Amino acid sequence: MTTVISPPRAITIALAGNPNTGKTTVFNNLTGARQHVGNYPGVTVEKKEGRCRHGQTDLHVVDLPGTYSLTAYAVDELVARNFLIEARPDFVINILDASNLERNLYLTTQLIELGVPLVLALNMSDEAERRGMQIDPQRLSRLLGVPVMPLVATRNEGTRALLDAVIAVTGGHTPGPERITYGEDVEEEIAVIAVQLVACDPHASHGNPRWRAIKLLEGDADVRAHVIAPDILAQVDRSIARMTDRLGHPPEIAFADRRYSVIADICREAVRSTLEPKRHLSDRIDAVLTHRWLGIPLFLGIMYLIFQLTFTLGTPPMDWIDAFFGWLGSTVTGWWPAGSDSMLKSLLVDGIIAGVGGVLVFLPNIILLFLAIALLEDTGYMARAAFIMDRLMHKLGLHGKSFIPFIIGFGCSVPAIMATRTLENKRDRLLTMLVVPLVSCGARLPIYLLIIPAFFPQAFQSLVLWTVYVVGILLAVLSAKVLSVTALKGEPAPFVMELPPYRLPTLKSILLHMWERARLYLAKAGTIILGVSILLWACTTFPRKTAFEQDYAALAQQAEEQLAGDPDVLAQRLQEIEEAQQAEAIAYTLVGRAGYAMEPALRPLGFDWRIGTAMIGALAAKEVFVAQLGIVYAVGEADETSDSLRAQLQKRYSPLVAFGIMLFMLISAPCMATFAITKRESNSWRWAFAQSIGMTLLAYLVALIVFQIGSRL
Amino acid sequence: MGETILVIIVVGVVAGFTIRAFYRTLSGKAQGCSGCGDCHCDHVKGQGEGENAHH
Repeated sequence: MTTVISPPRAITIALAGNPNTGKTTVFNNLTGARQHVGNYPGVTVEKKEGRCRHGQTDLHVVDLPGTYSLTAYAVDELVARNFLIEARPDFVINILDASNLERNLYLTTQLIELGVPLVLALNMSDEAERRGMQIDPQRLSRLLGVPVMPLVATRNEGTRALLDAVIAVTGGHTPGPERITYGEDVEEEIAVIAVQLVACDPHASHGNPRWRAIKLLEGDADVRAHVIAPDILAQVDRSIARMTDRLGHPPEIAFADRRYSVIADICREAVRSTLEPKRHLSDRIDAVLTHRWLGIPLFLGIMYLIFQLTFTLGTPPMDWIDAFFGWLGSTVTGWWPAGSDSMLKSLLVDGIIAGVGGVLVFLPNIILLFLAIALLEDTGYMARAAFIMDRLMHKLGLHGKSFIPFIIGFGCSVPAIMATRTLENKRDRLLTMLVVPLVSCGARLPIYLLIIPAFFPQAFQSLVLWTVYVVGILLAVLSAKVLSVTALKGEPAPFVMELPPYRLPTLKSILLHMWERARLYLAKAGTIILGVSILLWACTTFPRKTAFEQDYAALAQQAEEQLAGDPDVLAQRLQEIEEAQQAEAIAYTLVGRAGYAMEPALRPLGFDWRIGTAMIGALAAKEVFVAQLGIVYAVGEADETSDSLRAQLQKRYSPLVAFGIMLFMLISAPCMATFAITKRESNSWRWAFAQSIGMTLLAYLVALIVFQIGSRL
Repeated sequence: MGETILVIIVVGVVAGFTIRAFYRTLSGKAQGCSGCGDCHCDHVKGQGEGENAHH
C-alpha cells in the first residue's frame, strides 16, 4: 500500500548557488512583482525575500548570497550556511550554471552533505548546449540522488516544472541524495566523532552529526565554536593528527580532493562535450603559466618584456613629441626680443611648455604600457597572475584576491583601492588598501622614463625599470606582512577564483583600452598638471629678487677684461657667474625657500632642494614631479639655449642618487586623490594619514639605506 | 605692465580652480563613477545599483 502525503500548505524555499548563475532571475520569475528586500539583523550581506503561490502551496522564497562553497571563511558563505542550518528552510533550490557544471557542483556536494532537501535547477542549459555540452539531467539526477530540472531563467522556461519537483520533494516522493564517501579510514574517523556528537550533544541544532564531524575534521572554526564538550574536541584533534600523518596533508585537502573526484566522475557520466580539444589547449597553456615553480618567474619575465617594449617602441615617438615641444618653446621665445625677461614669456615657456610638455612627452610610453596590460587582461593571463601569486600572498598575510587590486594598481591606485571591495573581510580589505599604493602606478612612469635613460646604459634600462616595479610589489607584500602581525592581526580567508578561458583579444577592445588611458592622461595633463604647473611656476618666480648680494654685472665685466685672451675660459667663467645669480634669485622665491629649508633633511639621501620642491608638487599628482623639475631647470637656466632636462639632471646627480629618487617617488606618500579615496573607503582619516606618513617614512628609510650603502661601495 | 597684470590674473584664476579641485578631491566630491569597471563595482554599464554600488 502506498501512503500519499499531502503537500504542505505553506513552505519556505531557499535559492542557493554560485554568483552569476541567474539566481536573481529565478527569484524574480518565482515571486513576480511581490518581492521585497529585507535586511536580517547581525549580517552584512543582503538577502532577498518574496512570496508566491504554486497550486495549493504558498511559497516563501529566500534568495541567499551567491557563494562557491559553504565554508566559514567568507561572510557571505557563513550567512548562507547559517540560514540553511538555523532557519531550516523546507527545501533548497540549488541553481547551477549548466555551462560551468563542474565548478557549480562543488557547492552541491556541500549542500548534499548538509542534508537539506534539495532540487537542482540546471540554468543556462541553452548556453551549455551552444558551448557543445550535452547534459543528461536524468542521469545526473540518478548519480546525485536529487531531482535535476533544466531551466532557462532568462526566458522563464522550466519554472513550473521546477516548482512541481519542489512540491514532490517536500511531499516525500523522491529518494534522498547520494552520500559522498571518503574511504574507509576517513569514514571511520567521521563515524567516531559523529557518534560522540550524538551522545554528548544530542540536542545540538547546528547541522546533522555527520556534516558537523566532517566540518570539525576540516578545521571549521565556526562549527568548533558550537561544540561544548571538550572530549569531542580532543578526539577531533587526535583524528586530524592521525589523518594528516596517514594522508600526508591536512584532512581539509582530502575532503576537497574527494569531492572534486566525485564531481569529475559524475560529469564524465552525465555530460558529453564536443569541445574537448579547445579545453585541452587551455589546460596545456595553464600547465606552464600557472606551474608551481615556473609561474612566478614567467610572470616576472613577462613584466620585463613589457618594459622592454615600453622603452624600445616608445622612444622614437617620444623623441618626436620632445622635439615638438622644443620647437614650440623656441618659437614662443622668438616672439620676444633676445634677452627679454618678460614674465608672460617665462609663464608660457618655463611654466606651461616646460611643465606640461615635460609630462606629455611620455604619452607614447604610457599607451604602450597599457596596451601590454590590456593584452594580458583580455587574454585571461592576469587572472592567472593573481592565481599564481595566491600562495605567496597568503604566506605574507595577504588575501590572494588582493593581487587583483594590485594589478589594477599598475594603472592607478584610486580604482585599485575601490577594487578592495571585492575582498570579503574588513581586515583583508584594509590591509590591501593600505599597501596597494606601493605598487607603481602609471603616474610614476614618467618619472622613471625621465630618469632612467639619463643615467643608465640602454642595455640596462628595462632591467632598472623592472627592478623598480618589482621593489614596489615586494615592499607592498612585505608591508602587508608587517601590518598583519602588528596593527591588523588575523588570518586571511582562502581564495576561490574562477579562471576565465584564454581568448584572443579583439582589436576594438585593445584600441578602446588604449584610447581610454590616453584620454585620461591627456585630460590630467590639461587640468590638474597644467594648473599645478602654473602655480609652481609662480612659486618658482615670486617674490622676485632685485637687489643681489653681489654685483654680478661688475663680476662679468671684470671677467671679460681679465680673460679676453682665452675665450673658452671666459665663456665658462661667465656661465658660472650667471648660474650663481640665478641660484641666488631662485633661493629668494617661495619654492627656493621651501627647498632650501628641506635640504638638510634631504642631503643624507643625496637629494638637493630642487628634488625636494618637486616632491612637494608630486603630492598633487605624481607626474607633477617631472613638470616641476622642468620648471625649476627652465626658470633657473642661465642662457636661452637650453640643455634638455635629462642633460641637466646628468650634470647634477649620480646614477645612485637617480635610483634613490625613483625609489623615493615610488614609495613616498601617494597623490592627493589616493589619500582621499583611502579616507573614504576606510572611513577613517586616521588610516589615510597613517598610510601617507608611513609610506613617506619608509621611502626615506629605503632611499637613505640605498644612498649611504651605495656611496660607500 | 599689461603683461604683468595678465600673468597675475592667469595665476590667480588658476589658483582658484586648482584649490577648488583640491577641495573637491579631498572631500570626495570629485570622484564620480565613470562606469569604467576597473574597480568591479556594480556601476558597470547596464547593471544598475547593486549591493557593491558605492560611487
